[in-house]
Amino acid sequence: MTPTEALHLLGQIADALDAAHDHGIIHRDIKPANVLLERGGGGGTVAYLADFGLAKGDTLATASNAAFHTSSGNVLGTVDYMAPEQVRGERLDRRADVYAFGCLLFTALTGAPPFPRDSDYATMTAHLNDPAPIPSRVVPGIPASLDEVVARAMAKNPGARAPSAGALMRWAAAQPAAPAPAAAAAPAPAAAGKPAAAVAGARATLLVADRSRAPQGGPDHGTPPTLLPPTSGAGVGRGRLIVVAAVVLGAALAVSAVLLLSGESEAERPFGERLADALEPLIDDNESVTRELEGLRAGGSPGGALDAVRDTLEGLDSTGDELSDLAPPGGEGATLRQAEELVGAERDYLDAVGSVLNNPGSPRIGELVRLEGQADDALGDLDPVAPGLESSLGGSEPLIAYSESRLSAREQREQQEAIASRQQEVQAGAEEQELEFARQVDAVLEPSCPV
Amino acid sequence: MNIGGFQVERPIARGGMGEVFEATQLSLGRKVALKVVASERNADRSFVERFRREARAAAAIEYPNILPVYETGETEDGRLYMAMRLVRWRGSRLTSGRGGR
Repeated sequence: MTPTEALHLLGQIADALDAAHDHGIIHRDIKPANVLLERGGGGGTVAYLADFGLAKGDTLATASNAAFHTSSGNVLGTVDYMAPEQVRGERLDRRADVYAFGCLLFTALTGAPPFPRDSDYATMTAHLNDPAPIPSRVVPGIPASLDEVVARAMAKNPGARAPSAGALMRWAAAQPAAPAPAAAAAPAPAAAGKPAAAVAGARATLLVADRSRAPQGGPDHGTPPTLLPPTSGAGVGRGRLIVVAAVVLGAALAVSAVLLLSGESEAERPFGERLADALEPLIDDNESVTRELEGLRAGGSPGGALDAVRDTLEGLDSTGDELSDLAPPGGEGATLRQAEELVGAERDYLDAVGSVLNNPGSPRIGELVRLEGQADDALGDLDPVAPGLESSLGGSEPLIAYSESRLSAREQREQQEAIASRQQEVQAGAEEQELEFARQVDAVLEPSCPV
Repeated sequence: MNIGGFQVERPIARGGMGEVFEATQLSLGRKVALKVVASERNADRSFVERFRREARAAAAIEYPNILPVYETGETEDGRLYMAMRLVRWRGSRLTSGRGGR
């Protein structure tokens, strides 16, 4: 099927998978036969994910290798879409479904599963050891973004995998449909060499983005992480830095508005306004870092990203100077300190980014995660500056716009927190379910679902 | 043949667990896909328990792109069934078209 069709149909399946995962349900058997298609009313096609949680494996029932069985002796899943941890008979969580989804996407794009081999055993071994094939090398013209989704979903190590198939597909849908470089199209998927640097970069991205799991997850194949663009794809948010800056700015303007509304007269410009001015350059600089890191992930050189990081760091220096020149009116010193802490945390984070860019093999992912978390914490501290701001804004449109961006950033963060905690619950639930599953199941189920 | 409140019309798939039929839900007059578990599974209480649990799970998700489960139950002779939305195409279409090998 065409990349456009795949994005449309499998995007729906990815969203369905996310919904299931958010309910604590692991599908375990993502494959074409469990995707049902129906012509929608408007002429489009609706894709349904079917057969939830019904482990099936008639074709595997005779497999003798104990590793392919659960502790209760059953075979789960279909080998073509089986995650490495599933092959090893380990406990599964949502990331096993994400892996299978990557295989499904590969199949939809190229017409064949990622590891077609002579035997189930060989296919399972390939899931464990062989690099994920690159769709555009099989079918030239497939967009690089879909190559990347497959690579991100099919990382051997669950910790290096995207936690959400839906987010991956939404990210891909938002990318320009530039075909992957045709020069790369030559080897058959089975013989495909190491994933491109961009793919290694994507793994590193996910290590960073999937903060809750990143520290213990090294990239597979010994491919060193090379960079860490935060991406919208993995939930934490490509625009995090931008959001940070917008929130800071919103908060600063909020201070300004509150001061104005409280009738305080200023011989000089209000503190909030000056704070906003001092922080505003961060928006542009951070945007350029984000852009450059994305370009790098798509195969660009690290030079531009390094420049952007350097510029942003310089901008942070002058921001820091401006902050220290601000003489806050009484009661706003705390806000200033919060802003300074945020600037400091962002500086640490960007320093680490620069360090990784300079030393592609640098195993500093865990530290990056920690630093990014600190920056987030600093942001969290600043956030409550002006609750109720929106009600006191009056008719000032720019202030309302800033207020809205601040509020939406807060909502976004709350949502992310909710998702993260839900993920933890889901993981705990999945483990419990797995135990019960292992105790109870002693049969494999039929392989087909309604036609 | 009736199973539960469903008029069974024709088989559409068969597997190790049982069969899937096109059927009509008599109370509402709508077409459904009816999965009926093979009777030899009846004695297997863990299987039965799991079938029900998974049906409940699928029903709980309530998402537009998850195949809706309408009803699950047990016939008088103890066979389990599950009624789902009837969908015409299966995903093997995913693998047809360009790039196929």
